[in-house]
Amino acid sequence: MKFPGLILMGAQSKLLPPSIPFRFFVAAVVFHIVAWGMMALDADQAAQFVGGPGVILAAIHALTLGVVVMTAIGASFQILPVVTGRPLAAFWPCRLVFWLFAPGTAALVFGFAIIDQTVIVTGATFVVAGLTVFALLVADVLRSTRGMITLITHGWAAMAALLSLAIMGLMLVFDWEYGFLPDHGGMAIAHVVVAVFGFMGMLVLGYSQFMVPMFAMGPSPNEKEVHAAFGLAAAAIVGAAVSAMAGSTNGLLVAAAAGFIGAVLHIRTMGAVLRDGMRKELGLSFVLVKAAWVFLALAIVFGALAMAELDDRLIALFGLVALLGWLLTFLMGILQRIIPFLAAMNAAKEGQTPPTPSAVSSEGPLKIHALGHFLGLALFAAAIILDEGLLILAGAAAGGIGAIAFAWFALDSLRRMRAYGKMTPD
Amino acid sequence: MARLSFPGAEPNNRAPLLERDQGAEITRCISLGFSADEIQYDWFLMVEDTNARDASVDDAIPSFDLRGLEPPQPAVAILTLIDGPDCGDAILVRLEREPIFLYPELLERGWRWELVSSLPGDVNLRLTRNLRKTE
Repeated sequence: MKFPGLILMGAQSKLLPPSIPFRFFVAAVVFHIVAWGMMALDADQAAQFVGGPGVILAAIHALTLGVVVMTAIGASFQILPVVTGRPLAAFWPCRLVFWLFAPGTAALVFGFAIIDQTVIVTGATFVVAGLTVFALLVADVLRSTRGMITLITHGWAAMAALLSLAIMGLMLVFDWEYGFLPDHGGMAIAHVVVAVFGFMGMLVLGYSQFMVPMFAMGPSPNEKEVHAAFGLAAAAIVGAAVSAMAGSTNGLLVAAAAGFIGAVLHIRTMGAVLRDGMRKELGLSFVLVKAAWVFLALAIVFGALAMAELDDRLIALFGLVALLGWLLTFLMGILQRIIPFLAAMNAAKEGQTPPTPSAVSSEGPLKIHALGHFLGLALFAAAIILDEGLLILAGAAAGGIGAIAFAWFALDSLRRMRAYGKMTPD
Repeated sequence: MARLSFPGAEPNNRAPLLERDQGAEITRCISLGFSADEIQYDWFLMVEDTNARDASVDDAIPSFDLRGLEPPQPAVAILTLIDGPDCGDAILVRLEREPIFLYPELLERGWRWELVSSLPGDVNLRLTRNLRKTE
């Protein structure tokens, strides 16, 4: 619906050129399909994976770097300046991040899959270079922002975690060649903890303080509870990383307990925002977000049980619940809100009426995605518990269909955005 | 130009100038579960700020200073206001940042926006109900 005479000023000036966030989102939906597909390539290994290079490690990095971090970078470039009111230093470094990070991730994934050290090192170097430029851009915005303490503290914590995980990641890659680490396994656990809960976790927790009230039209989260959850999470991440490198199982269990309390506090705070929000019908996206919160708590429980060495399958279950269950589910829930918003705001030229987000998005593919995603998760969990490679194949097929449906949704939004600009007269 | 009309508040009664921490008071009202009507009434008394008006803007449009609120509370406050039964057809809002995420919500509700002025930390928006929404 077009309202004649609507005056639109300023929105486009505050938004990035759409090509910047969308290049990251399109790359993420491609890696999303790749990640599910790669799981099927080595189905027998996937059900009992505990680490080491190969197709499954490649699939995990397609998921973590290719989907989760790729989405986080694109969203950060767009959301941070809007929320803080502080512009990015320039646009060209955003494009540089993409041209370092996306090919680097592709090379790293390929290198892990074929177990080629040269390709792995080359890919990892490009990834770290891209993440460094990203971190500098984000740090510049955080440095110049006044107020917004919760967002800023989470942002700095995420950047510190990013620095740590990049260093640890490079050390792990070079250790395969030179074997200088006294405990490669301990460093790998620390790398996982800092990457999943430190970098991505802090970004997710930080952005949630703004995004969840925005979508629910609710009050800001209780600041004391947010600070308490942040303190517990930060202490748990540092404690777990140090304990992993020192080989202390007790330290890991204590850290997991602190992290679990922090996670429950975070979920409670977010639940209060939803309960008091003006908008009660939050749609399919928040079905995914709420499920992700449950998976967050479960991931910490499985992580602790795995460290206690109660059962060999717990490591794979932890990876499944933390990466696919928590992070991927959460980001897909948020991304299906961000893509139509950006498409709508960028559809109209200056002075034209923009369409509503619902006019540039389609609900059908999202339903297929949600179904495929949760079915894939359930089948993977069954495959790990039963040690059955065929179930991995079935899960990869379900998740892959869901990922293709999500790509359809994203590309359809882009198509509608372009079509609207051509249809609407100046 | 239609005006906001709240019980007990005469349109020509000018409230005291806004203190910046009144933004926090709005957040408190929301967190305490005040209804939209109650909060709007409070806002009218608390945050109407004649200084927020731009010289070129119709003096009859009520204005609301929402600086001091952190995102997304300005957007929540504006939507609570315009969703209320007593809201007129236009308001002015003064914010620290342009509320980009609010715009789709305004579109869905049949409101339009105009950036009256924009300086770092001081953004003035004129929001107008689209009277031809049903056409």
